[in-house]
Amino acid sequence: MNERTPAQIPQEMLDVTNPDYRRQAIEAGPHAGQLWIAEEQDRTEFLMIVDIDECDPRIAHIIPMSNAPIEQTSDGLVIETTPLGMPMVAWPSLAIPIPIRVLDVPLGDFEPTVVQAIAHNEPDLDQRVHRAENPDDFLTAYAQASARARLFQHWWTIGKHLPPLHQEAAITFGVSDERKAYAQALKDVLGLSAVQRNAIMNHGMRLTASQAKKMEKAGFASTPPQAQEAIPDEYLIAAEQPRWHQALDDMDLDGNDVRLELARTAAFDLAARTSGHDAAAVNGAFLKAIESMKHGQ
Amino acid sequence: MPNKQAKTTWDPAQHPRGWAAEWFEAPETPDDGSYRIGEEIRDLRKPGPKTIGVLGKTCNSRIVFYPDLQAMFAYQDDTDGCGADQMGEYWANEFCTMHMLYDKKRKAIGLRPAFIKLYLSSHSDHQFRIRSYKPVHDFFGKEFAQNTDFGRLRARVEARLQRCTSVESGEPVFEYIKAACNAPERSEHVNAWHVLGAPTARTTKTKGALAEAGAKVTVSWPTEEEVRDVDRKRAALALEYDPKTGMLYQQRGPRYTIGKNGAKGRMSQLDAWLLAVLTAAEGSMTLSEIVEVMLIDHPYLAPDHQVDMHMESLEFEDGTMRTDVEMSAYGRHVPTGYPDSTDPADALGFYESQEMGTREQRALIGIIRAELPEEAQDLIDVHALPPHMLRGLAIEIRCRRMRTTSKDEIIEQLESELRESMKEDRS
Repeated sequence: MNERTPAQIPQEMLDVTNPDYRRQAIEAGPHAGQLWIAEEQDRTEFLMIVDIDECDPRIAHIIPMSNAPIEQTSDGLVIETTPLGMPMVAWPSLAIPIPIRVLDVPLGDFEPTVVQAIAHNEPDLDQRVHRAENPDDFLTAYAQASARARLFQHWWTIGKHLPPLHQEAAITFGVSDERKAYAQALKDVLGLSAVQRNAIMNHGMRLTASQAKKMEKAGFASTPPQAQEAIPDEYLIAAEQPRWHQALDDMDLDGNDVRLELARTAAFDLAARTSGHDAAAVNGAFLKAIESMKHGQ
Repeated sequence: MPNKQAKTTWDPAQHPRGWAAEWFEAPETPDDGSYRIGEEIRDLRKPGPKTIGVLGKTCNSRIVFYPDLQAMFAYQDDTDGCGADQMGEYWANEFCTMHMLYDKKRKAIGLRPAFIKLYLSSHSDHQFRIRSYKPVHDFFGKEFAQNTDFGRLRARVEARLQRCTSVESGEPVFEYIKAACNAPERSEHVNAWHVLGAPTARTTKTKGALAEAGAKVTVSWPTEEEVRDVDRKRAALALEYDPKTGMLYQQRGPRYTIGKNGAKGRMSQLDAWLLAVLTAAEGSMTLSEIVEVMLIDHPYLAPDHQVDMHMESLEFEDGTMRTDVEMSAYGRHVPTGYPDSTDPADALGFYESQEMGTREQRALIGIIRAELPEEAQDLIDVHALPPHMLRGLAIEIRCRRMRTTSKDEIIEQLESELRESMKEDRS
């Protein structure tokens, strides 16, 4: 047994800060019952993952936590046994869905009965979970809890603005029909050849003034509807994984969504390959995309 | 890419002033991604020289806002001739490790949660350093409020200002406001107190003149010996630490009394003193200023505190600007930098968008706003809290105000007020 003095970090914390554990946990991605630190713009918070969203795996349902027992408020829970080897506080009433892109540091798993007790806000389910109490300086504790709640709500709003999933289905039945109709009109109304139609549809060749007039009469605009790219879900989901958090953290693409750009670049790269689309190829495409985005800055 | 050039030309370990010198004197180097501090903490299972060196630098840059804490270090027995590095390292150790007195000896009882969080959340030395400022600042705020004579006295006076009500009408006598505080090329607001109904502008009187006005009121001040006696007893108090819950319990310390309590139809002596000083001020004063006026005639109440005879301004004596807006809430934890929501529609928040809670939440916020001392309203972002938590907060505030621990009656009364308030909201 490895004895330690109280002013040393516990063995459990050594285990979860082990580089091998961290690498493996980040590659595996988040799962229910795990403790993480979420980070965004140097603001960091502990949390426990209750579940990954069934409909959108880019969203995790979480419960905010703190490693400072003095911050507890009466509606929280004090957890004696945690993956850090020191007591923590959880606030089931502040449970909220947030995007997994803010998850930064994986810190091990809670025991299943402890997860149940926290998730159901039911301290009776595990004897290592207790109802918290308001400390003497309860105003400061509530101030911290409210600031924490506000930050998690901010992350929730980021989750609401993720690029939509199922783009391929939407586009097959949506805009691409319009483009099909426009291409048909180029043939029917203007009688253009396939080569000319391709130049106009895909390569930016402009209609002449008289052609534009004819198309207008037939109810079409002078330029073809924009081709919308459909990024497959697997790329949109893969780009949100915490494994890219550090690499993408400081990247700024003039306000554009860095992860959407990553998914787009990786999907485009892989579409051009003939060597197969297995997991290793997808991973390679993402790494290459990150490199090219870094240099493109 | 690791910045190899910077590493070969600059090796802090070789520097006579050690690791801390890196960020004192080295040019700002880009983040090379190495986390040597993290490795050190893992190897030693506690903060080592690199960690303390870096945190010492942060502590030195933050402690300028807390002269009382500087004085606390300076008056310790074995600190003669110590320089800034030692002071920074002393406070860095305090930041990392919690201590308690045990058989008159200081004993480490655990690592501080804020330090653990900083260690776990950082990925590089650079990030560790950048992220250390806020927790160190918060740590100093708490240390100041709990462990300095001035901080404790300040908390007592604040509580009196909040609680003091008129003998005739029962209305509060003092009001907490934000007063404009202008310095050359800069204008800010400070948190200040004034007599309800009197002008809110910052006072133009000097602290000396106000102390004279206060001296006209009869107050049985504690004697110097009484104050020292309380200090001695306080120093011998043990902290209780529960490793299971991680809670530190401080025994209630003995207190000296300031002035006699009020009898029927009469204000307490301290309240009368506060009223005399703030009336003479003909304007508003910050809490620190009020306490400093008290210290002019009774310096032994906070012997380590240097009274600045000037009223609080945005400039230090040496002309440097106070850059942190938290200075007005001196000694109190202020959560800063609420994230801005990009879309105003989203600012409504998650819980408010849950239809169930909205009306109840509004009613609870109304009740809390009415109960909460005004200066605490800045601290708590009530709109971020769900109804369940607001209810806990409302009950706690009531219990403390009524000085009762039996919650049932309080809960019942709160529920009926809530029903009433929600009914009005609906109509």
